[in-house]
Amino acid sequence: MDISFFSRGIKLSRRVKPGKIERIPPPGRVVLPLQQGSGPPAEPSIEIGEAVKVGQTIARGASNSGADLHASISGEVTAIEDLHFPNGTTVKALVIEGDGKDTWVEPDRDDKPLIASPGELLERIRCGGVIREGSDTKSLAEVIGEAMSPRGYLSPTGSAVAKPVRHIAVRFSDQDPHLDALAALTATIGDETAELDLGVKVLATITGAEQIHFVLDNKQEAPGVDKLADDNDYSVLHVDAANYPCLSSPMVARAVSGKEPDTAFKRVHENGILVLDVNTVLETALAARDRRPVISRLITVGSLAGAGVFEARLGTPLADIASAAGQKEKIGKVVLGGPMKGLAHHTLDFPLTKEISGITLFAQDQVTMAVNDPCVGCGLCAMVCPIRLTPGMLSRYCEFSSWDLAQEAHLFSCIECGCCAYVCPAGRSMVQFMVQGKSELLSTRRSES
Amino acid sequence: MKTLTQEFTKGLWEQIPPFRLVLGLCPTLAVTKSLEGGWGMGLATTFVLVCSNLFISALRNVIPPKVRIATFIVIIATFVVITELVMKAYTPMLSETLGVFIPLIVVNCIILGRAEAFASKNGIGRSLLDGFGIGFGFTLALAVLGALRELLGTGKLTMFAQANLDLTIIPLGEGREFLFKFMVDPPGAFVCLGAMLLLMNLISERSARSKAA
Amino acid sequence: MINQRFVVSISPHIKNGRTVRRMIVTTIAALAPAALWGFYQFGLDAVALVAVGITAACGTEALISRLAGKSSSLSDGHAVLTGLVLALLVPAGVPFWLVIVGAVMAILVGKMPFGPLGGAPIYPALVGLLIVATSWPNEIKSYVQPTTAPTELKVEGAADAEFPRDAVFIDPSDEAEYKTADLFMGKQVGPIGAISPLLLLLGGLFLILRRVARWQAPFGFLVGMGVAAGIGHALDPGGCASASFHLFTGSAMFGAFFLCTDWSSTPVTPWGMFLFGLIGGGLAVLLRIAGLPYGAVPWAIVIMSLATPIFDRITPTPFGKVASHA
Repeated sequence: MDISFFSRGIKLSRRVKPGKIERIPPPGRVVLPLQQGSGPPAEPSIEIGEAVKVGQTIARGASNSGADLHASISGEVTAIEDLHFPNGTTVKALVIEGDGKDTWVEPDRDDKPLIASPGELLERIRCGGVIREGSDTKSLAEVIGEAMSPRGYLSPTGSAVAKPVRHIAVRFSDQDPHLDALAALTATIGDETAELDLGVKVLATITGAEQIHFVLDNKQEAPGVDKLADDNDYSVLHVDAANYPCLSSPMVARAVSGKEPDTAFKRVHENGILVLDVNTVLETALAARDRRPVISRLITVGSLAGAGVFEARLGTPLADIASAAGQKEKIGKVVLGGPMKGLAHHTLDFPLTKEISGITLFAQDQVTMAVNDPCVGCGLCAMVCPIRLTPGMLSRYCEFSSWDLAQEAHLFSCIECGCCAYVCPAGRSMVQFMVQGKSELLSTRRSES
Repeated sequence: MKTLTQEFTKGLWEQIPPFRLVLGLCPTLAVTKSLEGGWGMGLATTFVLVCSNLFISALRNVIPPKVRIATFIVIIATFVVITELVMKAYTPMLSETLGVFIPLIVVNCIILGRAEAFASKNGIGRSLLDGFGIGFGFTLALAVLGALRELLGTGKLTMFAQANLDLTIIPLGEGREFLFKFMVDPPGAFVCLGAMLLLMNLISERSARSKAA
Repeated sequence: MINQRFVVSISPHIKNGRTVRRMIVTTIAALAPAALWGFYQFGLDAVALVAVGITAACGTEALISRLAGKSSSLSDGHAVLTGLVLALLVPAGVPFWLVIVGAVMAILVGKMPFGPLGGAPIYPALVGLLIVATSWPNEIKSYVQPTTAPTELKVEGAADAEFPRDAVFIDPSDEAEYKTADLFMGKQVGPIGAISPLLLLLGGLFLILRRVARWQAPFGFLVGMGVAAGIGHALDPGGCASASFHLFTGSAMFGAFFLCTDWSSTPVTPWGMFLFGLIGGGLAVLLRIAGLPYGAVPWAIVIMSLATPIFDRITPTPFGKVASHA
């Protein structure tokens, strides 16, 4: 029994009306990192100096479920260079100098994709370079593979068994209320739901999902989506997206299945619940029907000057996007993603990748530094923690290197949503402590085994 | 190896029992309600400590290691009983003030600690000096603590109640027994002990710094 | 712009702007109505006592910070709050030096030895209060007749045999002599800031709405007191006053909303807070009946505070974990 009457999580302000999607013209030069999401990087399938067209495969996924990478502009591959990622790793990236013509590869359209076998459809998704966003961004094909045959799940005869996915939940709004790319996309869809319909059906065919759920913000109006759900007997769920993090995968999974998935050591999709964003579903439809790969992304650019939603080709320098968004003030901090979970990067000299769902720019006087005063024990963090942990205690364990105590207090259940740090009056960087504790424990475990 | 003088003086500052060794805290906290209790307890402990150090040091080569603790306790208990009976006979008021803490000297960590760590490994002369040093240090510490608590708590200093040697430092109003009762209450003992520890650390830190400079 | 290096830090990149200082200021604001009522009832003496308490607490903190070579922590306002709470918990007739000693002790013994804010295992103001209450048991009972109290209130000659000893000097056997409504509206004898259950209740609700305090501990405390007093009254009406009397007198309301909701000395988990309050409330009634000369509620909360680490172990089952009772 839980006696916290007030809802957990935090209330963030949310822009109600998403603006129009603006298209940023293809840039003259793109940098495409071979790693788009977690997992091993893709392998280049073209030579330096080769001419490429838009949509042409330039790198193949590393494993048989890794996503392919495609040219996002037409032109010539000029170099393979090193690129520093914000998480500290260095990844090889292909550089394409554009010819300005933007010629596409010949389309290979299949008007009846649903007749194809699930295996064939999964391969099309992989070839289309569709990725699934989330705390662990990776190839959608890989995610589906993991969802259907979890590690160690074998039949009595010893062969791996495909486990059906029970629920597919589609988010029509971003997890972070400060981002509104998905809401803008949903507004653009309007009544033309053919592709959405197709995408959902393709995914249902592949996974054998029993129930489809559409998860919308309760301020969002999407009659087309409602009608589609009505026609197909999908359930529609309205949540208050401003109450962060109720759109995060574990919370959505609880909302659609009525059961709480374990957040420690197990990803949500391994519980048979696939939580996807609406743009992933649309990309799936395009990959399955038109064989059209992912070459652009919808991103929210948020800043002091306001927010806007832009569509830009992959590999476009972020500086171009920021200037297209009209950023004039002196920038102090660049965050790839939303302000709650995004990754700060030291430079804008970085290409748009499939992992980036938005850019949040902070002016210099807007940058807040963690003061990391000692915990005062006020208990606000325990009140907002959506996982019902006691983050204050956990942060103290991690601060004083009591890793075992931290693990006993369910450190690994933490989803790093940042609610505790958001409310902490002592300005402690709670997520830092949690991440540090997890990595310490994992490295100890690795060295022991 | 320390010189013989150092063996004696180490107990007065360097290893002064309740503050530096932080041993024997039960009597320290319990009997320091008055100056008299402080020095009375201190001297009783000194006597036991010196005698037990002497005997244990003398017998150190014949005590079997396996039963040494039991042997130590027997020796210590003997002197504790002597002390208790003598005090009951000649200083009945002090004996009453200290009450159960006199028999409890048997299990005082300081005495057992010195027996185990020092007397059973050193010669008679050194052990005696060690006993005197540590004992006087203990007496000093308890007397200071007792004086501080009594002065703050009641405004008086009980030198030796039996001989009516009380000093009234701060006169109190009619019908008032305490100046600041908290100080003679058990929690006050902890606060005073903490304050003394703080002072000790502060002084040695300062002197170490001035030496280094 | 390309070569510019930006600030890199871990998420989240925004905060709600809440600071320790603001939360303490909110707490002080929540206490203000009850304090003003106390000033109105007890006059300038009460104002002077509060001023002295705050000054002494701030002075001690500044002095110790200086001696210890630490940067002064005065700006977070905790010393002000400590002095204020201490002064509000003593009757208006106490001598000035008593409040000064209490405030000095609160900071010197209750707060500073435990390091920065958040280390104190017991609410510092209560440490100071209980030190002076045990040291000067007669002075601490210098109750004053409030301005608007019903005339038949007995103040003078209230001895230890009176009942309930800590609460107010009204004999509960004379039911006619007090009205629950009068008690609730703050027409009673008691500590400066604790005589108005109504204003304290409003202040406490304000704290809870501003999310400075949680509802569980105050609720548990009031339920605990109510149930314990109800049982006691049913068993022995002459020996134990009714639940409403217990709840509306002494520092019961003050304790529930402002002492049970302290940060470091109370639990943070929902059930932990509730049980902390519930047991503390029962203990307070027990101490009142079974005879503490002064301060049953503060003592009960101090005793519970020592058990806070135990209550903090009652954590809710994390998301997705199966409840275990190991």
